Amino acid sequence: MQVKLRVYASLAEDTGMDVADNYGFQIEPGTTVSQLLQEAGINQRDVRIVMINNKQADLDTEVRDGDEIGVFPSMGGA
Amino acid sequence: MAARILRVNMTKLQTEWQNFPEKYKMLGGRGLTSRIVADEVPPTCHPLSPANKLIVAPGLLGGTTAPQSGRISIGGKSPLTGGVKESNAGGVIAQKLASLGIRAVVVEGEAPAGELYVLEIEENDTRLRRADDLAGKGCYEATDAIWDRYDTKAGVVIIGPAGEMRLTAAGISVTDPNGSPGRFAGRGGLGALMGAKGLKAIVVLTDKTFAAPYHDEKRFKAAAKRFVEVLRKNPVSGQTLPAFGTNGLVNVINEAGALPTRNFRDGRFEGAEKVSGERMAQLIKERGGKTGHPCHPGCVIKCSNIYNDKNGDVLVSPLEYETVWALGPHCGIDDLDAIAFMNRLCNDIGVDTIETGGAIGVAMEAGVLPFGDAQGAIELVKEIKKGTPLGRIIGSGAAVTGQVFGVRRVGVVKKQHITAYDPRSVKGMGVTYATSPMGADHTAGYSVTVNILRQGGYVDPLTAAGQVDISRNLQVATAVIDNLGLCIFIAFSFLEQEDSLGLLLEMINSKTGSRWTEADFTRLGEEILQTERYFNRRAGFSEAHDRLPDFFAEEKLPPHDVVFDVTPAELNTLFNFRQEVRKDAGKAASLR
Ligand code: SF4
Repeated sequence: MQVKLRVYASLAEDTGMDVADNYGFQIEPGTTVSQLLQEAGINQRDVRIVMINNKQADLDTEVRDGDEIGVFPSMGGA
Repeated sequence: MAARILRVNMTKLQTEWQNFPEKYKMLGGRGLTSRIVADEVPPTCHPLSPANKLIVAPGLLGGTTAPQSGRISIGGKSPLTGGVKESNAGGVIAQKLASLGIRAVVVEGEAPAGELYVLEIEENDTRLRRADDLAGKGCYEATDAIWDRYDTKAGVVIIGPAGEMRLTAAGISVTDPNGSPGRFAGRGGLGALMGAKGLKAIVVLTDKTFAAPYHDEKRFKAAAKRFVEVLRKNPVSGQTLPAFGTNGLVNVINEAGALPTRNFRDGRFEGAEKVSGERMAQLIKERGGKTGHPCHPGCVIKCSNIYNDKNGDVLVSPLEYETVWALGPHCGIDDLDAIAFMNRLCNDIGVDTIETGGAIGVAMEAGVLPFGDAQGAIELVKEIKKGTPLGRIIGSGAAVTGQVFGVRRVGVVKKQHITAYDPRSVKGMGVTYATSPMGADHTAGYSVTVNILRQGGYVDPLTAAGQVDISRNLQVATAVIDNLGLCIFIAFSFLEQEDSLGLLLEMINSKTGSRWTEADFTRLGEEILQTERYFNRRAGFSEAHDRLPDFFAEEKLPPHDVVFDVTPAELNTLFNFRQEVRKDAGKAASLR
């Protein structure tokens, strides 16, 4: 299965990944967001917001083929 | 020093000190401005009439060592909405007024035609000085002229040409610690009200910042210190806000499919990353600007920034999310430098960036210029300063612009433009936009926290269920934060850290000698909202005004293909508070 991962804010700084760029990952069926993050070298304790295809999801949500996943640390503003 | 109100009569050109009424003891900021509006302004008066009043009030905790306590509330009957208005800004003015014991400045009447004044406030003296030399001057030039005149560091509240022209998108600028006029009480057209009074500026001449009196100073300072620690520990107020400013939200809201794009046609903007907080922070670093900048002394969160141009010269401070959105994605513009330049122009002319961006997006919808035309948008903003008919239309906001050009798809509530969260895909925000007595105002009840940011719980942003309850609770809590004169961003600790409310109560009680509990806190929030609703009702507002424009219920928003489906019946329950609702909150017994 092929999925795309996008990282933002301090997660990008921490991993050296580019903000909002699509990073492709080849994963096994049944992989959770949490496992995907591990593969990408992202500390899941730093992740507060997970979105799959622009919808809110959780760390234990299973990702599906073609999913686009965006992850953020604690964010705020107004 | 006894607490006092400064009364300014522009018709008689007289000022007068009044002892602060006991019945207002626990009121400050928005609680006080709204209460004085309800008590003293005829609800049906024209907003530009001499009977309307402009009220400037620091919060109950203004001038203390409480972190984030330097917010100023400016109130009156709104020239934009026709209802009650409190517009909130940072800058140095609240702390200076509070340090002089001034709980409110209330301006009424109107100066003789063609005359323009500056109100000078010193500890024991006030003057109304003719200021015809400042007529038509932009906020930057006029503020510089005022700073040159006084050797002490003046706090300046000022309007630009838009306020002098009495345009309904005109805001009021407040200077920051660097003397830059970038802190705006932008919303609701209060600049037009100040202009109608013939008042160009209010100048507060004191170096005092933290000199407000306490009931129990030692207790207060201990609680304030602990509150600083709480804010520093919180990841939002301690890390994200200082690093990326509020503009860190661009990518979050875009990723959530809720970034209103090209006048509410899409929830995703292809150019989002180019105008994002991450990109902004990188440019600021490269160009020698500053992130983590405080808008007033005593702010420890520091969400503000100084954004430089390509040559490394200061362009604007701060560059914020709502502004970036209104002048950017809303207009299909993805050029951060163009957005920052328009922000500077708006600050100089003295117009609300949100309302101006909203109006330009509507002009684009009408075909006056194409979406994405940054240069055309810049020229439109410049028209406002020139006072051309087109400039005056844009400077009157989105509702007027839509009316003039025959556009139906105009995102306003009570004539005030919606902000950077599409109500169809952040439904809790839709509820706040619809029901706030202020008109569409995201800060009045920031449901994004629970809908998108996962702060203080989670409710699915795409479903209607539960949104009214979230908005109600946040609107009540926000009214109290605004009463205290605290920056709204303390709310992130409030939502997540249990000791926050206790520390706030401890500060309130040791400041005033009261014995408030959580129930009093809630009651005050409810009473402020009821007071505002009471004024609006008498000004002619009804439930029919607590609605979003109908296109939000009819047109599906990509990518989620959702409409706004919180029903009118549900919206009508927003103000059903748990406690018995007072029939006549405007005349309600004073808060103890
Ligand atoms: S956090 Fe931002 S808005 Fe709040 S007081 Fe500090 S600089 Fe001003």
